[in-house]
Amino acid sequence: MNLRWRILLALATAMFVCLSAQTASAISLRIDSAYTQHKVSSGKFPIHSACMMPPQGHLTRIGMKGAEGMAEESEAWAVDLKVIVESHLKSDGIAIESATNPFSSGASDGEISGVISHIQEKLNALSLLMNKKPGKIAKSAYTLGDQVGMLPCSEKSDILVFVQGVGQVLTSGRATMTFMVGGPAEAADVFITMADAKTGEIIGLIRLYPGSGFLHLAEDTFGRSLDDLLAGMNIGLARKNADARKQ
Amino acid sequence: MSRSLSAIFIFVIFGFLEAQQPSPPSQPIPLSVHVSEGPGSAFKFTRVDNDLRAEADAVDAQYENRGLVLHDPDLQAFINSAGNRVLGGRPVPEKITYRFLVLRDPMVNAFALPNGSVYITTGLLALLENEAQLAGILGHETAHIYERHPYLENRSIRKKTVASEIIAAAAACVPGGYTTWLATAAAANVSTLLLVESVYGYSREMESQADQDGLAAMTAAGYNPHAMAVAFELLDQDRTLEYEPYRTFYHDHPNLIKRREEALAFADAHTPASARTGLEKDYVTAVAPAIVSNIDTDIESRRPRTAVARATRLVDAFPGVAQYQVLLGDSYRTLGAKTTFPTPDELTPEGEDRQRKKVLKMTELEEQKALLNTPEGQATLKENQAKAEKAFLAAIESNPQYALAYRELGFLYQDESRFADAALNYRHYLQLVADTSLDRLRIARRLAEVEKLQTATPN
Repeated sequence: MNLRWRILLALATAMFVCLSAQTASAISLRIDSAYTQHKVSSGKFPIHSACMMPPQGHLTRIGMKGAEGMAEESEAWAVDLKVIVESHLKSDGIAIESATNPFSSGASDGEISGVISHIQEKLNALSLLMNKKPGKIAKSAYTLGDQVGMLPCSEKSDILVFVQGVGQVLTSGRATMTFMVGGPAEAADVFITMADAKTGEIIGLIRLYPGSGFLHLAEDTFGRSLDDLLAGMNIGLARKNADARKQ
Repeated sequence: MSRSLSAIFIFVIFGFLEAQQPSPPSQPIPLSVHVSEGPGSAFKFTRVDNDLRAEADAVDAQYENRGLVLHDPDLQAFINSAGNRVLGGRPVPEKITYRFLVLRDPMVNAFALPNGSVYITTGLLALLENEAQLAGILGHETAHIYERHPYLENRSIRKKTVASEIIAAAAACVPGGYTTWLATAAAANVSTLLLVESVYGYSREMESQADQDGLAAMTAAGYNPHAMAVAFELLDQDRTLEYEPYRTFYHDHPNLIKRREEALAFADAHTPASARTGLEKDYVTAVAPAIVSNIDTDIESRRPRTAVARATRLVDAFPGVAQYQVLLGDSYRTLGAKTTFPTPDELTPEGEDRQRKKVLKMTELEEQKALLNTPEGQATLKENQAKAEKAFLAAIESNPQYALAYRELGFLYQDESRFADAALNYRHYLQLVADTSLDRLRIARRLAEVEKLQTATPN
């Protein structure tokens, strides 16, 4: 074998090893998952209505010269995520309310946003542990406290739903580089947290890891997985719908 | 790594500085003090710099939108006054609009954005003791702006930092990550680069320069630079009160000792006889809204020891104010079976390690349960509950119409399974509170619950 062929073989081997390792790592770390409290999965706490909290999204664009923020796209993506989650919950027979709606409480927008801000602070504080040990959700280990009951929507809803996403997109140059020699991939982490609207207890957490195309094809990249996870958690009519789909 | 350890974190808020027409310093500048004006027109803006400036504007907007900026006219006037004095008569650099803002964040921190916004957290404001210390912090942060450090560091980061590090830093500070730092999470949502700057901090040389420039600026403004040395001491003592996943620049122990020594050396050589420090009582009066806001956030963020310390300070300064007494009671109630100060064991390296593991492995509830498994924990709980009750009753005595005192007392009695007493206080609260209060429904639910329990388990 001459030198040219040897070099080519070495390069091909290196590329194969690099891509395989990258893929294996991605598969092992990024599996869609859901955690739920026993009272929900057993059907003792039926969910008929949900109050959607303002969504949060954070996108980063990675190029050849480093990373940069995507302020406007982040806001728009967060709204997209919320719309998708809402539509899936609705299709499972769950009525949707908005956390910012004062209903007949007479509360001002400022008062409501103050309560929302407090609740989100509490969730951020819990996230530290909840994302490390999500299995404890089944044992009712996490709670936002009954301050959630201060939200006007809590009276009409069974659960509060928080939608949060973190994602990175690549420029075309960076994507080519990743394909050739490895590096960051286009991917996102989407967290959907559910809390009892009266007690604040965290009753469910869904973690989704959509890959390439998540920004413009959000429904395609995780919609089906979301349905399956909701069915597994026994949220609304999700289980019945899943059974119907199978038939 | 040393850069990451000397990290700064950025956050929180506030209002508008009249930086376009800065007020002249009230004291003549001592001849031996040179106050830097930075590179001035020698600094040339590039596209990268303009992009960063736009990101800084977006961070400002993000803080506002998320309600993280604390707006209180009197507090703002106080911060502006100290900030303007520190700026003195120096020319405002190109593309800078100085604004001094208070950020509603429990982390002890302050930071400057490249567009001229200087944020000081409620956590830091609640810790400081006087106006001169505040001026020293603002002097340090405005020095970063004068010297164009955010832009220079940004250019450097773009060359040195690999994308994976940036993403790792961002992931640690966004929803689902590992932080309770409200402002960090908000900044991460807008500007990854600004976030990285805050995480990794400026270079040692830049921080040292900002310390020296800040000391010179506060001295020129007539403040006593010894106050800054005392501030570093305060920061060093405070860092042991709560476990922090990451050390911020203002809580970095070895650096604080070194910075204190440097500040002392400067102060010994440059303090004019007429230098002012300001009275602690005046300072606490001015920043009380920030302290109140911070106690609420401390309670929400699993920092009950800090909440107790700050509430005690308010009550000591203003003994007859029902609002502060309720905050103190609430802080003790949240403290539960935890001691007010770290035990000697917690202060050892091994003890600190155990605390770290505890925070990362146990929920607040689990931690309390574990403490209650020991006789010491049970005794501490009783002691803290007694202190909480005393504070709530004092609040009711100070102002019998203060509804929150009854609500919080009801919470305490419910914790203690004193259901009849809890029901009585919930009823009292519902009588006093407005019909439109968002809390009516929650307390009505609690009342129904304790009435049910009262029937089942009479007091």
